[in-house]
Amino acid sequence: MTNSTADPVLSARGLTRRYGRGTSAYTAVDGIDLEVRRGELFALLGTNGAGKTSTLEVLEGLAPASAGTVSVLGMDPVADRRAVRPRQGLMLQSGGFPADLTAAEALRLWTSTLSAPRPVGELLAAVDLTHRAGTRISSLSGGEVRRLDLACAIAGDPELLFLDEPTTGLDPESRSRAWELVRGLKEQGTTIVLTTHYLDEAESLADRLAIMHQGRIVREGTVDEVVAGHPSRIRADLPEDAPLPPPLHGEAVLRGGRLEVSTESLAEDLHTLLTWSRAEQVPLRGLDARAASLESVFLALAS
Amino acid sequence: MPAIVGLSRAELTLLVRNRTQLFLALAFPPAITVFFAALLKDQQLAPAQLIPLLGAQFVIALVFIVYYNLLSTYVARRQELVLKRLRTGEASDATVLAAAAVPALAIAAVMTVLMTVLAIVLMDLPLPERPVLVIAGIAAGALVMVPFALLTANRTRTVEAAGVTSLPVIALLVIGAGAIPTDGLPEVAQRAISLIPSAAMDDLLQLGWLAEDPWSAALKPLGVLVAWLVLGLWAVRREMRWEPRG
Repeated sequence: MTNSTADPVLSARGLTRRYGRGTSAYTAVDGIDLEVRRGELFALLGTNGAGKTSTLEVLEGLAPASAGTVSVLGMDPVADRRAVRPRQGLMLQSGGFPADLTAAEALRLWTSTLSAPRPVGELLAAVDLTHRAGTRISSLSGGEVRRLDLACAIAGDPELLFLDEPTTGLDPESRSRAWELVRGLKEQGTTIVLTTHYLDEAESLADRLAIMHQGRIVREGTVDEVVAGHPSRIRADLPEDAPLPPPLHGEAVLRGGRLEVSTESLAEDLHTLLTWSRAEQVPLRGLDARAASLESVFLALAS
Repeated sequence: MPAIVGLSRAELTLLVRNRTQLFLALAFPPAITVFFAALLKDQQLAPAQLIPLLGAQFVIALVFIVYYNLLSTYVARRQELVLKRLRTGEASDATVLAAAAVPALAIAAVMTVLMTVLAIVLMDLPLPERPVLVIAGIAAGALVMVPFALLTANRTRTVEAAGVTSLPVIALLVIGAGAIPTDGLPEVAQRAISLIPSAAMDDLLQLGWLAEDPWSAALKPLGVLVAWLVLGLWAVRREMRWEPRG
């Protein structure tokens, strides 16, 4: 096995997923290309119904692609299931634990199906559930079940880990602990594919990301690459009798007393605006200036 | 630990925690035999008349311990997304489904032995002449109920609905076990009834216990049971539902 960073652990060409037939047919994933390299954390973002989970299910080998080719660890995730499964970990969106088992029993049940499981006690500790080991699943909180899900996903020490919205339903503290855990796995060399609704999660964890919209990938790259070329924004409320704002590099729109500037030169335009405000004695109420972020890119694409 | 052991152990833990289900599985079968024995006590029936009645008791016990129990289990595990989760792991589909059946089959084995002992003592029956056929009949009868439970589960939305969806299979098995006197029926009907798995199981029981016919007579009922089993497993493979029904 080569250990070069360019070595793709996962690749997809023209991945397509269709549901139904005839007039009710619906294309959830429309011929996307993906490549995830060894040791990388790759985030798949998208609005609800963008096709993230449908894509993930194909990559995980849970469903066949309607068209296109997928290679995971150099193998076909469906046909070579027996060889692929021991090397990958999965965290689904849904629990799937019998309600009457305790947390430790549920983990024992799961690890009994693995060829090389980590000890149950160690896994409970990794997700801070040691004190809940003897508690029935039915009495755990949603966030605790989510952490148990995560413990199952890492139980087999996978080379490749799929996390489908891993922190949905977690409180902020558990969320930051889950991030630490994910970072730790990445440092150990685990390749991670993650879907999330939280843009800060992707911004903080991902080496590279792709944004899906209506079954296609509309942006792909590092956070900086995705954000680059997107304008920054300045916003302020002007009084009714204010003079016209000065000429700016960016595009300024004044509507109903609200000034909105979309610009590539944030610092310069902001400076011009502030100087003008002082000279003309125009107050800039609710002044808000922000550089392009993953969030602004995402919102622009989704709308 | 092999996957099937770990999965079966969890299933057994769940069964033990479900007190009602456990109590019924353990108390109901011997109660049937004791009840029948008390009822038939003064009738002076010959073994040839008693064995079909014992067969009916086995069928009722197996319907209860294996078929209905597993039907509820499979529906519950599917609706809780347990099946979906297990399918994402290393265990094969067959292992996942078989493991869930192990505790019920084990209880069925213990209970049918207990019922046999009770029947011999209380109904004054002779010992079986060909025990291997008796065991084969009961074992095959119990195994056939596993795919039946799975196929019924596919048509059952909730654990509560199992009370209704199970009725056709239970009716069929009870008819096969002699609930309808077949003597007056046309030959076609009689032949059809003999193809029901519970009827084949009864035939093997009778042949094994009393040995009134040659060994070769076991081929037909054995063939019937194996055919049901193969057909059932084939259907499960084709139409198994792993995800919850809305």
